[in-house]
Amino acid sequence: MKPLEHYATLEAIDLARDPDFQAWILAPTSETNRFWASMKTLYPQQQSTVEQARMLVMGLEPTWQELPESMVQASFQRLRQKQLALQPEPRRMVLRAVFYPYAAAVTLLLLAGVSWWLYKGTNAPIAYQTAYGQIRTVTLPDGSVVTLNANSTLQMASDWQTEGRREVQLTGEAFFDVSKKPLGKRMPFVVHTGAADVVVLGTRFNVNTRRTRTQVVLQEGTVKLALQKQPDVLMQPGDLVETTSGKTAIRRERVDADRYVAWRDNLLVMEEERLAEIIQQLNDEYGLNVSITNKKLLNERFTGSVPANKPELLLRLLAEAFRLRIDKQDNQIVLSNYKDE
Amino acid sequence: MNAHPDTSNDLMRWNAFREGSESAFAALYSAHYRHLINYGRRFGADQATAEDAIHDVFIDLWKYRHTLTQPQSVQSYLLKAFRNRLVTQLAERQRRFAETDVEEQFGLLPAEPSAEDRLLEDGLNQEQQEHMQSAFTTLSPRQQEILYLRYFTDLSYDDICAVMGITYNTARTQLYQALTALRKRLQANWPVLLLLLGLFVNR
Repeated sequence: MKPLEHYATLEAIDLARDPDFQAWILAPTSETNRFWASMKTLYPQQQSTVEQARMLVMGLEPTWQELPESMVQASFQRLRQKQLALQPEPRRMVLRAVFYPYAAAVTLLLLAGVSWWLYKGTNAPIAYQTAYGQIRTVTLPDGSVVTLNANSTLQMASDWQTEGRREVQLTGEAFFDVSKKPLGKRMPFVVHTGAADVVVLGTRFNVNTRRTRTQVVLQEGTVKLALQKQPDVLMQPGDLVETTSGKTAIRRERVDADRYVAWRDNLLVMEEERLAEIIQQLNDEYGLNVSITNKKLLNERFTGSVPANKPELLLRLLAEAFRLRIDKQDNQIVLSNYKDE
Repeated sequence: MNAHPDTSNDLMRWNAFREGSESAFAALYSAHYRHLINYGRRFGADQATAEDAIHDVFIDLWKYRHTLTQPQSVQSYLLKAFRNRLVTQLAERQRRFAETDVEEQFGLLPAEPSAEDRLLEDGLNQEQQEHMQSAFTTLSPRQQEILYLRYFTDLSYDDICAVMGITYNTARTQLYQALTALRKRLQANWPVLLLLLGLFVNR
């Protein structure tokens, strides 16, 4: 509350505007009754002012129409819609003929610069790489998605779209989900490996080039395998084809393709897998140096699955299964039989 | 009690909005919408007509924000711009139906029941309320408008004059006459009311 002097000379309309006065008129309490009674006693000349102000508050206050906040906001949204509807269409740029020579000169300079930059760019291939234990997904300029397994490299020329062919070079292992018709054109997609070219037209497949071999597993669509010393192989979904550089023989079998791409879900799935393969995989993908003393065990088979980011778990599972002990010396991991000692 | 708009931030918002701030623009709109709608209602405009005029004002504000200057009072600026539009619109509409010149009208109409209910709860009955309101309706439109602006807004007398397009002396005279007329009418026709009010307040 303001001090009583504040009300000594107020006009009726200004008294009526006073929030404290309004509160008293609209909802009097014993405390406010006392306050205003003492004001009237102290300044008797203000008694008629108080009565007039009371009339104003009681007469004016009910004429106020309160609106909920939601109505205010809805009204603002209607305003925004009107504003959007009123937005002028973008004005066309009109170049006066006087500027044409300048425009042409500027355009030429720009073209020269851009083409030099593009030419320079063609010499630098783009490379995607993964470290040991790392999986990376890359989206190529044509929309194809490549998932790179650990310790792998994918290289491509930077002039892809302009050349009209899509070629990549792979070392390591990757899963390809190739987009069929980028830009509405059918463009062959070729994966070069040491031993083979995988030619595809939109499909999902896995390529593994560890060591000297190239292994392709087709999950969906069709793939043509162009081999060095063999006629081309046309693959069906579920086909596995493996070729080793320098050798003429190829291995071809029907497999469960999902098992070969399980690594994408960070899962290592082994089904009747030879121990030799598993140890090789540990060395290839995790940069480990695992060896086994009893070479007879290399042809034993193992079935199981472990999270791909836990190679040590796989090692312990193998040790349990074949009753082996694990010895770590520096970065060498040696699996040996207990009875050897 | 009516919510006086929070005008303390008006100039800050106004300047931010002139710089292109959409949030400041929205804040200005929210702060003043209720007052503009209520003001418009006194001119006999329904909600949709009043809102159309408000939209016209704000669309122009945004469009010409680069050329706007900083007004003495944002509220007075908005009320004036809104009043001009609304009165022109309403006059045009009336002229279309009746081919005579129509005088500006301003009436302190009661709000929807909710506000009245509030007073009824406080012990004032419907009859007393109607008497109180009828006293206001005997005032001239101009007198009612001055009372309204002085009571419901924070405008100075100078601002009120600017909004209504009258001189300072006219405003003061009209206000004085309005208050005198109100007192006379209530004392002559219904002295019981004041008695009742006095009893009620001093209970």
